[in-house]
Amino acid sequence: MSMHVRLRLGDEEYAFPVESVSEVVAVGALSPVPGAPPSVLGIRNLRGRILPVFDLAAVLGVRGDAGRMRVVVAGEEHRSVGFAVDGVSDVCELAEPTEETHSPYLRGAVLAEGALIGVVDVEGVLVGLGEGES
Amino acid sequence: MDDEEFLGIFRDEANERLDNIVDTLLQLERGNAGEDALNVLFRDAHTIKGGAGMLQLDDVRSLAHAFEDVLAHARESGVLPPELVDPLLRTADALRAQVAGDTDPATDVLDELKEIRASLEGKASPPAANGSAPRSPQSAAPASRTVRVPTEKVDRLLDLVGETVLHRRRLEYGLGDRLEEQSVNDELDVGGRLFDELKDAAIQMRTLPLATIIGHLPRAVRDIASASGKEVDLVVGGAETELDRVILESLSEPLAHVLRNAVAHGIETPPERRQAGKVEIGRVELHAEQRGRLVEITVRDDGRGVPREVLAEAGREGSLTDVLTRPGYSTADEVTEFAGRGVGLDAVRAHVETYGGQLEIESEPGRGTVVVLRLPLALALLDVLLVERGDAPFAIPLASVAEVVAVEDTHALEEQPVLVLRERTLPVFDLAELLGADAPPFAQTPPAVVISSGGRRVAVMCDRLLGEEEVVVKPLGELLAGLRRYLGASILGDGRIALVLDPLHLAVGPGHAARSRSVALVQDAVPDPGKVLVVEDSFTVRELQRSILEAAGYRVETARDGREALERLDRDPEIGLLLTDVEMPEMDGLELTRAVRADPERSELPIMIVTTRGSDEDRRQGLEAGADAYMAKRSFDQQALLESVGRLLAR
Repeated sequence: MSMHVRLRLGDEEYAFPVESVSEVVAVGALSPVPGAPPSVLGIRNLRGRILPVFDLAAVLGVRGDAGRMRVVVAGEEHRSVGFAVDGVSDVCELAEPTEETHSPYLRGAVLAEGALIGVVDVEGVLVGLGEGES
Repeated sequence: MDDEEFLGIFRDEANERLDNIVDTLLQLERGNAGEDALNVLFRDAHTIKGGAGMLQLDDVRSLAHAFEDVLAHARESGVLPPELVDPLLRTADALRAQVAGDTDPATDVLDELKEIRASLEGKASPPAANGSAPRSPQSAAPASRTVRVPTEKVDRLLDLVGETVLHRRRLEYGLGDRLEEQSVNDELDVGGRLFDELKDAAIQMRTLPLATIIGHLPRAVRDIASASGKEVDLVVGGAETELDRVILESLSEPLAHVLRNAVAHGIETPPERRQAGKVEIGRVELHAEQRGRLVEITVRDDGRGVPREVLAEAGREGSLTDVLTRPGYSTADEVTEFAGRGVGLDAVRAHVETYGGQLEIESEPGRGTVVVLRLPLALALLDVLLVERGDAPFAIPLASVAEVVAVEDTHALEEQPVLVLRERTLPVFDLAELLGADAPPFAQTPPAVVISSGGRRVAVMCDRLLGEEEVVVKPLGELLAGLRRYLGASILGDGRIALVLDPLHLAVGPGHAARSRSVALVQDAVPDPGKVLVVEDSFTVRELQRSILEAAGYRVETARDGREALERLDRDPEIGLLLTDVEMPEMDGLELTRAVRADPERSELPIMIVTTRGSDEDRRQGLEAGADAYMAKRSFDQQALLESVGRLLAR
């Protein structure tokens, strides 16, 4: 069992290991970055730092709601990246993933309270986004 | 125990240590000290320093510290030079007096120790080629007084300084009418001064002296000089001038290039210098100086300067800097090992401008050349012009902004809109289109910012100008660092984020990427349409022809006169067509045509003459010289040019 931040993308549930999340903030005012990959929603002022915000639904290739509500901030202080999600429901204990997934962006999935939760491999996502950069 | 008791204990111990120090020093002088003597001395001084520090006996601490510094050097080299024993004994005496309560800071002894330390460092550093290499700053800074701080922390400090600017603006806004009150105004003034000091202090933490990167240059200059049979003295001044760490780290290469140019192109060989009435040994000066918020790095040589015709060209085309930083330009008569044509001042200029700086070149034929690199003292703070397009603010480094014009009318060349500015054409782009952003159509006469970077000039249209501002540039983060069009982003007074545009990227325009893509697509279907050499002494006509041909998919090389054209032809066997003007300096188009035809290897090379001289007689002369086609500039039109080029290349 370990602590996770549970979040929602459309009808699906995902979780970030709590140690890779530094905070959760409102989407706020996002400035578009022309020329950036489509998964980049924009950049945001986070206490004087520039936070690039990615659309987690686009990164994972799932269908989310029409507009994202919250931003999960991941990564170390000076390399922070925001992931916009439809909602953050809970911080709770989750068992180790039992279900295997094929996505390089997921550690696996786990069943909890009748819901299937995909556990995001934050490092894998960051590496993937870094390589996808043109 | 109270302070008095602590002080008593410290005095006892310090005196004991000082006795020990004197004994050891005398043993060292007599040559009967133990192997560990230097370590013992160091430890004794260190203990005194530590105790003095705790009790805030600052004079004792400083003196013990200086003593320790000298010993640290001696310990490194393993010997204490005998001439140091006397001053160290004097130091011990001064320390004893201070420990006993003497309030004299013993400045003379301190100064003497500082001098000794400096001379020890001088010996420790490897001798430079001509003795002008600066001391490395690592050894100049006493290690025990240096705190190592991760660069991120310093950057965070600058971030916060930037935040303070915003806070101040919001505060002023919020105060409204109360700004009129004297007391409020006074406090704001105090705040402003404190902020300026804080900013300077934060910036200083990010700077390093130029000396950190120029250590190898004297040697490099000597090598280049001797390889080309020249003698050159490099004189370095202002090596202690500090620059932003990030700028500094990347400056080494461009600076070496400018020096290489000075030696390879500027300085003459000893016989040439004798003949010109100069001393045989050439002189190259590298000088750095802070001027306001800029650092000026000057490379001055007393060589031959640029040829008069280049100066004349500079007079016609704007500035010597523009002429010499055209891509691939070089003043060398021949390509030497060290200063080839491919890598030029254009790269240096592009580099300097990337950091919001400027490059300036002046030259006097026969007397020498001066290259000035002006760089911002701090990279994080940048003077920018703020503009708006499609409701989003963008920042353009002010150093690259040549002027701002109102766009009333544009013309089109090959579907590329151009602006006619003082009888010269300038490609003009919509900022939104350049970046790939969505934006509504422009109002009647939108402003356009003329950006000059990397030797190119373009006009960029936007909705409105927001004004000049000093902004803190923040990185977009690793995942967006690949977007080379942005230097970073800045948070504005109203909380909005402005993307800071890289002028170099803007000046290139979208054409290159788009064009090369379309060429690549064409190449899948049909073979390479060929390479054309455009020979033309007018910059405008040359670039016009280049852009027309490149847009049609041709690869284009250029030359400014017949002689240069022949050199190009020698080096580049891929050239399949010569497009030449008639009237040019050095060697005109007719002479060039005859010279090419006289060469059996090139007798088949298609030649097309494009000239202002359109009479039948001129045409006859051109065709007689061996040209395949003749076109008058008067009747010049793109379609006819492309048709002729296509026909000749297909032959």
